[in-house]
Amino acid sequence: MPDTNGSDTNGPDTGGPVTGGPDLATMQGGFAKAIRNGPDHVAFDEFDGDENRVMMGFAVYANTISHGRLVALEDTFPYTLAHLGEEAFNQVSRDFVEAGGGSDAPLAELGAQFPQWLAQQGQIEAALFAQFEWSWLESYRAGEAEPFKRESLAGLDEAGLLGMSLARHPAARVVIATPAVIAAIGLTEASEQILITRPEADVLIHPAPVEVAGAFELLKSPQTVEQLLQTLSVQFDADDILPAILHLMDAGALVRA
Amino acid sequence: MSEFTTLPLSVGIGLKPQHYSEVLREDGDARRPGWVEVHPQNYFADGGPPLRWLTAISEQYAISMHSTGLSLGSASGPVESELNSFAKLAARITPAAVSDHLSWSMTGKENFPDLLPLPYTLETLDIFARSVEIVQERLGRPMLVENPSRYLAFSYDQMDEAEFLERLCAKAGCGLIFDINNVVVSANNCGLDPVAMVDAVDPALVGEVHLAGHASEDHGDFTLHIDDHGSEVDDETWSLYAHFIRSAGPKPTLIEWDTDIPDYDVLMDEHDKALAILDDVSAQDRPKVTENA
Repeated sequence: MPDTNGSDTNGPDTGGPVTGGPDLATMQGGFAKAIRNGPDHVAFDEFDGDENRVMMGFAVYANTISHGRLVALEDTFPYTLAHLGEEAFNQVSRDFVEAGGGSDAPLAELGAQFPQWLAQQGQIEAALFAQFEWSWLESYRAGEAEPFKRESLAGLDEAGLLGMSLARHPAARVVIATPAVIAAIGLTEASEQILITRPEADVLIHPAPVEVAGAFELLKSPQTVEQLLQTLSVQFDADDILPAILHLMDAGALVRA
Repeated sequence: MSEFTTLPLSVGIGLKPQHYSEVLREDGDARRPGWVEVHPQNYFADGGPPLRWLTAISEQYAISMHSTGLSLGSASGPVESELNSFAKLAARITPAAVSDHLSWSMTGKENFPDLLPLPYTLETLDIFARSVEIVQERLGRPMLVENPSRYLAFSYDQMDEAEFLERLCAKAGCGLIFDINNVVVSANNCGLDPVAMVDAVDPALVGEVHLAGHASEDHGDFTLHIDDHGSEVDDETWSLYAHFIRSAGPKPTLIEWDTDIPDYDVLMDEHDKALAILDDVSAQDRPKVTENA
């Protein structure tokens, strides 16, 4: 081991590189390249021990990183895994990781790009499963807010009701679904879209008929009830609009803006 | 209690979702740890069930927030988004200790879910100390840095690990988590003397001790130890722990078990073993233990 005060340094506490080794940024860049591209890129002379011993140690880091990423995907997307089957899921997960998917994100965010990546690979139904699961996770981790309940409408006169401003609850999401997704998550009512909410502790799943999804889409920015009714009346049958808004309230998908 | 933490001088456990309910039990049969440790990355959320559980648990227990993602050893400094989330969570639960590892996990935009090794050079010392200072300034309190488990040693190290850690503490004003399982793993993998490694650490710098199990991988002429936190603490680690505590005095001690999570009672059996060692040493130091037990 070199003398810490010896001439092979750039002097004490100067932050410079050491003779015989790269500076820290260069070492880390090289280490990352070897993790990414494999053993041919390991800088054996930077480590103690023979090549076999260095490879043994290096493999522990590489395996931990790969294993961590693959397990994060498995844990995040159990329905997608069940839909594809273990072998196919493992293959697409490895392909995703090896293509650098999510490599800039911490493990908790690794799966954010997975649904889109599956769609790009032509795995459309799997992508819809994954999008449902990622949206479920977003809902699970979203901020707390008091949902606006239907009961709160009592006592409002017409002007008060029409002027009331509503917005999406931070945990509410709407995602596209197929019959396979609907069946897998146990929804008994057919629906082309799913409403995900978390009004209290638990994440809840509801069908989202087209009018409900339409109202939810409008509420990406706060709207008064009057604005909602006016805009939705252009798209949907008048009799379906109020039930759609009440459906969102009953599901815990709205807050008072 | 040390200048670096307000953890009680007792034994804590790594908190797992499987054990939330048992940790919160208060009836006569409840087995309650002295404190709990959490990986803050598991609670980086705006809301939801995990944060609700953690908030409830923080009302009953002292919490050690042990990060795995600040990447203090990155040449570019700590990961800002992680530090922001860490600071937000710390403000919410007021932990008794905050910490991360002597390692790096980010370079450029690439994030590696592991605790990667650092060369023990003056340059690394400078960069790492500056990162610790950034975190401490942001949190307004001293932090602890954990000695790593190593699978590789750099050929151009300028000092050994104990010297690096001691100089780091002097430079940045931080304390240490002394992970004795990591000593066993590193000593085996890098051909070092574990007793000498334990004896080289200044007890005054240690704010928390960690104990865990490790796996072993047979490579014919060499057995590699892997720090997987997936089993009971092994005999060598218990022996080194007793050796350290006998000379250092009681320290807040954590039982970590992060993979193949056992039943709560199995984890608490490990907790009780550590507590018996602490109590044994504490018998010679009764006033301090009575005060904190």
